[in-house]
Amino acid sequence: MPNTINAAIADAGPLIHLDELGWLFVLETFATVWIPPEVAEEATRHRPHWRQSAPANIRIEAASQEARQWWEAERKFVQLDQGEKAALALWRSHQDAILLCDDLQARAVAQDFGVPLMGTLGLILRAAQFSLRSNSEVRAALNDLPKLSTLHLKAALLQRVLDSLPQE
Amino acid sequence: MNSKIELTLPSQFLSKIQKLITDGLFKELNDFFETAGNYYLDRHTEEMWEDYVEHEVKAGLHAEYH
Repeated sequence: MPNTINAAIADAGPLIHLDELGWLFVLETFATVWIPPEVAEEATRHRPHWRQSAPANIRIEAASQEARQWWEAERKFVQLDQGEKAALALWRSHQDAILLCDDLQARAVAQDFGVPLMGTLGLILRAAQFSLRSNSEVRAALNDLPKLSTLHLKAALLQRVLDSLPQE
Repeated sequence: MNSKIELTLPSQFLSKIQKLITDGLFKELNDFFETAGNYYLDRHTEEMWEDYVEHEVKAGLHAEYH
């Protein structure tokens, strides 16, 4: 088992993209995945039945008022949506967790604060790292991304991810 | 030079955009889509996507998250 962070806080992007692929099971690699209500609502707007495919370790939790105020005071929420703001604020209460996020602006804000990060691509690769799926199954899921998901990635960049996978 | 395109949108989505126009946030549909397109392009530069992919490979395969 890889040495890794054991808890996560999810923004809507990875929940939506993994559900589009039928890969929400990869969230099982965390003991707990915290999700703010704003994120759960956003994911449900895009994928009404995502919770039915989600593993049992999902916990809905609202960020504290103190955490929201702290982030607002840092003036880092410019151009972020409600879900991204809520996920970042929730991280204040779970600083041992990794932030699951695909939004490039939100990731830049998170990186400024040293928040550990992973997105949909990393989560798919994580399935191989944790031996949940073979490298060829991970490769197939990555190849399905342009057809099945709304994560828009240039073909050359997707190929770079595919090339990073060890050959079996 | 401008180019003309035709879009097919879900009715509910179009209604939301039209309300923004009615409320005075945008002049008309062209104004909305130009603003939305530029907003996306500003937030998703090529360099940002390159960094994203590099980070994802490190995070997903090597548990390097920062």
